[in-house]
Amino acid sequence: MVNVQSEFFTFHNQIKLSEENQELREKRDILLNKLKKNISDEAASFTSFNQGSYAMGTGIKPNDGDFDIDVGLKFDIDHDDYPDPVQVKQWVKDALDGHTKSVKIRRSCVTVTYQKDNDPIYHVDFAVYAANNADKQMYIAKGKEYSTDEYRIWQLSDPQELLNYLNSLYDDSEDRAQFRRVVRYMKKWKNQHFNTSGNNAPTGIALTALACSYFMPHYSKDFLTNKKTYDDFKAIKTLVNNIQNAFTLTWDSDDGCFYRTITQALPVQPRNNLFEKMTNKQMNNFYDQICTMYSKFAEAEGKSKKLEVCQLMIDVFGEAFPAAVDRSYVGTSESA
Amino acid sequence: MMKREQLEQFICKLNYERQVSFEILLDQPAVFQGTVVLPNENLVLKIDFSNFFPLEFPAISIENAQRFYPHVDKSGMICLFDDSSLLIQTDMPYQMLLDAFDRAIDILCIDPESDEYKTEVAREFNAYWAEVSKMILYTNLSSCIGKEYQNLSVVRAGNISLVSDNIIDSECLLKNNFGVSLDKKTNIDCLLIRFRSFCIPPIKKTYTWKWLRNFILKNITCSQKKAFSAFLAKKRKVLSQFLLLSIPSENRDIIVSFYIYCNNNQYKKVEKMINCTVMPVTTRPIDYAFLLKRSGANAYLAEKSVLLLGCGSVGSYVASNLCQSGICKLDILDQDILNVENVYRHLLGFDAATKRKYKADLVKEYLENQYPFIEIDSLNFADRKVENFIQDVQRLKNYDLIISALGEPTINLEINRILYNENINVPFIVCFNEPYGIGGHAIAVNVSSGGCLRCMYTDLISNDLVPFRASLVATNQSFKKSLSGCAGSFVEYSTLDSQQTALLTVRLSLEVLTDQCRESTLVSWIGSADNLIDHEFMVSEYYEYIRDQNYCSIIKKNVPINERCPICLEKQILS
Repeated sequence: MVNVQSEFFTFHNQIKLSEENQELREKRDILLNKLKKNISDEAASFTSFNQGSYAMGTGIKPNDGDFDIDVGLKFDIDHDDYPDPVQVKQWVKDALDGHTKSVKIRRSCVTVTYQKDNDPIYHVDFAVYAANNADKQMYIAKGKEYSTDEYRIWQLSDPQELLNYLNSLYDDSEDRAQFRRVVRYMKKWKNQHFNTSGNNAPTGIALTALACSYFMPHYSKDFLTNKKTYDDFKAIKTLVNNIQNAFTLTWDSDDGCFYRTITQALPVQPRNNLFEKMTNKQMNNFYDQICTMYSKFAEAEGKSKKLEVCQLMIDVFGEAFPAAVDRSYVGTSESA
Repeated sequence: MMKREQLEQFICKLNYERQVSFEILLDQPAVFQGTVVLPNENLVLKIDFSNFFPLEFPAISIENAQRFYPHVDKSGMICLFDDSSLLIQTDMPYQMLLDAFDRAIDILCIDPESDEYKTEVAREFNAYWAEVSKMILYTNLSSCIGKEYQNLSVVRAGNISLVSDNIIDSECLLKNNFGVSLDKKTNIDCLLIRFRSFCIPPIKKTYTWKWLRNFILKNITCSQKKAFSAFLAKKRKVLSQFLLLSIPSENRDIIVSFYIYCNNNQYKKVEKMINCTVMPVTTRPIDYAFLLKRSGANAYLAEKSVLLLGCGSVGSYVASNLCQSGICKLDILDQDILNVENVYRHLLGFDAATKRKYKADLVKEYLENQYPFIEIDSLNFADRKVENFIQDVQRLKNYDLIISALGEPTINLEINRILYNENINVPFIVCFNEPYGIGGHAIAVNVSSGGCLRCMYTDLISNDLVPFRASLVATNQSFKKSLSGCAGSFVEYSTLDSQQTALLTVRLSLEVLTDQCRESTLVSWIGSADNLIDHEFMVSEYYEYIRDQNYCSIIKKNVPINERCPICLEKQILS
């Protein structure tokens, strides 16, 4: 096996959605200012925080150019006082309406979309929470403007808890950095190999949760400096192998056959199964893709040329993974 | 100088406290004389304050010596202290006088029958003997020491007399190391007789043949007497004879030598010769064991055979240091010619470089001249190419250690591969400098355990070949400079860097050869990065790490097996 760590680093720099993405941050701040300014007097006070992959440091640049940013709004309310969560979401929508062509209440958030030539280039998702509840828990407002009552619910949820959970997984920040890199690689792979419409593809949070369960940091320690040299190839290969092994055979009575299926709970509240929306067949497709990816990694491991390994990685991750050239020499500073 | 009145006060105090009676000598302002009563004799002593007192102790001498005293030279001067090993408290001048006097009395009171006397005499004898000697005889007799009785031959050429256990060795030493011509050499008979116990001859200005015969006969065994009597019974017209008396002593026999010469008109028994000239002779041992012992080196190394690849800037100093450390069998392989531009960072100087000869031949010539008993093979029978030489596995097996000072990692790694793949259990040390004085390394592999050289050139997460992992400079920088095209390109480092690297290398070599280094070991010396940075180069992460850790200037680490190393991996699979 050859060392393609520097190529993985280059690849990561290519795909990562930087936490310092200036433009996104500006858009978010403009919207937050507008929200504060325009929100109706009857609305409760709120504070905001970053959430989602952007906050967790696992975001990647989207294939279609539609960047997104997730912002949480913690309203100083008790959800019991507001039986209709859509009412609270409406405060947000009303305050932002007209800012862009499209401000929509979606099931889990209020989405503001920026467009260019009718194509969305950014959207900001505002998730709305009731944060001052008798039970001291946080609840997210779910439901659309025209949903029936049964879909208008306050669901137990604490997005910051997931961030805390991730940070608690590994003591070493460098290990956490490898975790984030590997999650990003998985997301990039997903974008390359799945049709993103409907529930064909596992969600980003599902891949992140799988990594929480099955990722192990991989590195070698240098006896000279005691410093860790990370091996992202080995880390993602092991993760993929572990995910592959997590699938079980399930009989699908509708299709009359066995499918490989998987479950993965969100590691924090509400601990829901993140694959519940995928059909057995979709999960089986996910399994097939995972197997293909693993076979590419196994093949790469047997290669002795960087060029060949990089080509296999390009098959897995797409053209963002750099092609490398082999050299028959390395430099030296030795003389006598 | 101290005032005479003050010195007189000190002497008065000494007379009172030690019950003696020193008086000033009238014609000398700072010399006092007096008689001291000792258990078996009364001695007249002189105390002489020099101009530098109290920067140095007063000198004390015996005026009426009747016998040999240890620490007393032929003029009677007592060697009180080894000043170079003392820090004197110069603000206590009277105490200095007291200490000097007490020390003198201690020396003079050593009982001639005591072990202390024997030890002291043995320690000092050669120095005092040299004072009365009129000739010098170089001895190379390590294999004869301890023998009871042996006929030898002194070879004399160009005013140098030398005795070895055989004439050929003497002639080689005279020619190669003393640089004298053997055209007019003469051989002189020499007899080595070992005394049965410790007995030192008195140190006198003149000796008679009769006295010497009797002195020998009194101190030898019956069987020796028989042989010596046969010698004495020989008839000779001219007697020209060295006598080497080997006197058993605490550590090593003391050799007391005489030269006897007598020219008669007719044949006479040696015993009956009168009017013989008997001259004390100073012996100067130049045998390997003696010379090595003085340098603290390990005589065990004499049997070790070392192959040195490359004798350039680092290698030439490695060769020299190895020889001085006691290595006697050294093969040097280097295909380069010593050029004048090399001289400021090579062991050899301008005169050698102007000869336009191979470095290996020049280093051999130089070191063999410097150090007797060293055999250097400059391997000039081959084409001097390392690539060819290392193909002969059997030849490599003959060495106890292989050192590469080539500065060529590709060849070093090939040697490493051959040693490991062919199971050649010869330790391998690689040494080299890093540029601009930032440091240098010596790494020992193929010892009992630990990683191989390839481990240090193998990536941590793949089996990729990478630059030396403990390098002190960042990778992907070119340090080659050229003043005269590719052929003349060089890396900037100084002779001090090379000597420092050579020192580490030879110390590590000695540890390996004496089995004190049983695990692969990396030794690095760490210099300043200023010069490197001034030339707009960058240091490595490792260098920064060392600097942050405040490590000392020399770092020694065991080299573990790198799990990715293809050579160690294959070896593990095979075993």
